[in-house]
Amino acid sequence: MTCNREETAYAFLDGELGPREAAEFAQHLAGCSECKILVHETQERERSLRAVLTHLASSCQIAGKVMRRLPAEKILPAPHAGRSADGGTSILFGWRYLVPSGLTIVVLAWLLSQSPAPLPAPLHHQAVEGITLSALGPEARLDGVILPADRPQSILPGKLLQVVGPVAIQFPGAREPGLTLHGQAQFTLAPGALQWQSGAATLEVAPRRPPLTITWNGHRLLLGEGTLSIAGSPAEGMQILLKRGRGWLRGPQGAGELSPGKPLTLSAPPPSTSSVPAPGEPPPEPSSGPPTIESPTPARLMTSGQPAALATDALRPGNRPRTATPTILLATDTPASDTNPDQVEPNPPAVTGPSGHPFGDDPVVLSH
Amino acid sequence: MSDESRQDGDLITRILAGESNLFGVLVGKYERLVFSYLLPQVRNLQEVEDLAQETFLRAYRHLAGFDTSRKFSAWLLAIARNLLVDRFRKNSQAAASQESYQEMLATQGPFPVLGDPQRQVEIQEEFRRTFRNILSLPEDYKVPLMMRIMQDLSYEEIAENLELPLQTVKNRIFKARQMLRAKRKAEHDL
Repeated sequence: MTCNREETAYAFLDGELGPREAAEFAQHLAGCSECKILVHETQERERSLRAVLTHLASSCQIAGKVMRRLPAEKILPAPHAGRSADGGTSILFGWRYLVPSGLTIVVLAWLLSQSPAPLPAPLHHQAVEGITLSALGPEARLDGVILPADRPQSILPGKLLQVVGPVAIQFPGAREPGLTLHGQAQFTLAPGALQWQSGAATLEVAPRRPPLTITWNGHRLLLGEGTLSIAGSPAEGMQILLKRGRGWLRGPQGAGELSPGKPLTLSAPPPSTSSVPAPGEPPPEPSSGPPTIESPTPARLMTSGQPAALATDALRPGNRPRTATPTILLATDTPASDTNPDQVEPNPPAVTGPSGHPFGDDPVVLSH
Repeated sequence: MSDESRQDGDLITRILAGESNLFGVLVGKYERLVFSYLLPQVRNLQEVEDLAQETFLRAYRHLAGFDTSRKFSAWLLAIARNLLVDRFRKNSQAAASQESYQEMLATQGPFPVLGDPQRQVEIQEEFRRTFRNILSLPEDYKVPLMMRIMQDLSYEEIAENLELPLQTVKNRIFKARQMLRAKRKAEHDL
């Protein structure tokens, strides 16, 4: 390799670069075929490895087997100083406990083989209001942890989630999952609503009324039914593509129905004058707190002839946040100062005007 | 203390108070981490599974002795490391038990990854080549790389889990990838 940025390429791929370095390298990547091939090949190679090994790990069902054996185990008293399960002369450690418990295991194993003990009841992180998230494939993960296929996870409304699909999301009151997500994304959930943070995913919405609400950076998108590709982050703007079904978008400058098959770019709001860096200065890093929106700046709806994922984005790591990204407030309907950034707006009542639009009779200004 | 450590600490307190079912949450949370740690070091899938189970059971037995100021995942991996050491000590003919993953590589599949059959074949082939090459890397290099690939952990998280300096982890992952590239190039040149 003649380009000397191999190490930077791997760090970029791993999401280990800061925003400025990442942007700089993305620019380099656009013009360096060696780095482009390196990143692409590494990403492909590791993706296939991850897919297969994740499947293998799932097929081992370690959790189920451990929990079946747990009743035969007992928690031992805390050891004396200098002795622990992970330190010291581990080969000698715990013999006096291991022998009897080993015999117990043999006896119980025989008993279990006669009458298989049921697995413990599904365990949830926390009792919540009824939103659940289930794995639909071996790659599914929640907050970096593999999602067991047979154990839906309860979701706390308003909690920022890092999800790798395919997963199904079920809202309270629904008899079956109303939303399927493929790809990876960071978002928060509330009953019937999703507040997008970043990532790239395809959402499939089962027919529902009121429609699913997706909010991002002052935009509100309603999906009654259909498939939507969505990609982007607060810093980069967002690309959406309604592949099928019906969807309506309302932004700071108006509302309208989405046209299936036509990509739409929602740009990130431009920085305020005071925050524009002087030439030569680094761009501002995302703050860890919510952004202050002094006067909601109308986001620009731009016609885009590009596919939702740009060429360089397709090569980028999965938007895995290494730094806290601000929660973008919904500026469309609620003054920023009154909005709690930790809360997702619940599903609004379906306001339907004579025109049949869920937003009422707002003039349609949306153009692709 | 991080939120994660605090959550784990809360769970452990409740398990010690009698809610043993909650141990399933910890196993579900960390089973893949332990799997990805053991897999490149034990050349038999059944043994990986056995050692992973034993890691969790040993952790359960000694939960009362866990120092909650420590990272639970790092403690788990330290237990797994000791079990590996035990295994090699007990079995002085370790090589004899080191059945390779060849059978698995030859027979495993089809993998339920993507619907397209052609794509599945490509993924399987890519997997076999890459996995074989990873297994041939030095132990110190392949473990952090596997944790990075399988768990999508940051370098910092890997360093914490393996209780290694951050720079060491960075260097090892970089070197491991360089070696993999070199191996792949050599395969192409053949």
